[in-house]
Amino acid sequence: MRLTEFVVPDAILPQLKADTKQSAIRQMVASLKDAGKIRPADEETIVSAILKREELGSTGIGRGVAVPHTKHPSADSIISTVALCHEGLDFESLDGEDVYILFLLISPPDRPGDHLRGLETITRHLKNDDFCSFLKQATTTAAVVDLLQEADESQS
Amino acid sequence: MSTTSLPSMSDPELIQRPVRLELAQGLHIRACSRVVALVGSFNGQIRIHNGSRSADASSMFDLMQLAALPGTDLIIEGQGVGAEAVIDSLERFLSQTAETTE
Repeated sequence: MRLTEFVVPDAILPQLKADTKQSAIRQMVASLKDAGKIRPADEETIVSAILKREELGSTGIGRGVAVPHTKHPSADSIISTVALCHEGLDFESLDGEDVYILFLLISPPDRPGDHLRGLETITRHLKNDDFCSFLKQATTTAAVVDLLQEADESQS
Repeated sequence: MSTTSLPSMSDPELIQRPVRLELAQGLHIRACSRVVALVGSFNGQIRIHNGSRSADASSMFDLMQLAALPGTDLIIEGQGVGAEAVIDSLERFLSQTAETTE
């Protein structure tokens, strides 16, 4: 799976301003709605589902990365957006460190394989120190898209 | 499930144990974080293999690379004092089906 297959360029937030996990998630879902990838009527239920998932355990998985996610019937295929929080954000991460890179993921409920492959793709690239470092420094949507494309090309 | 002990250049011996992943949602984020917690402060090394993929069981990022679905045959491999107890707990966790939905 390639990052550019499921990250929605128009929904990328390269300079997210958020004081709380809730605010970050809300802005990322709104961005997917504004990009036309989720229906306005589904926005609130998707936000609620992602926040409920966070209550079970943070998706801040370390290395300054969080992967908030949910499965939702409105998604025909896996969709994602990226947000960069340059000031750092307390996400109650597993390692206790602030989060700088967020990948929010919405998957169809009936395709668990896609969900796992999406997570596998994201984390495989974020294990790469260079990719992580360049992404943290990106401040424009174009720069983020370039990095995602480069990452995809590096695996092929 | 049976345990295979292989000869090793140094003690303690390497333990390999096959386990079928039964977790209803596979090895997703929460399951991976549980694996990391079970490995906890164990001093030796525990690895989990899914075919040609292999993960350090103390690393979230590594474990998520396994992308293991329910029904996948995994091999847990460990070495070090107390490895068998850690492998026992991992086997119990990975082979259970009941888990809250995500």
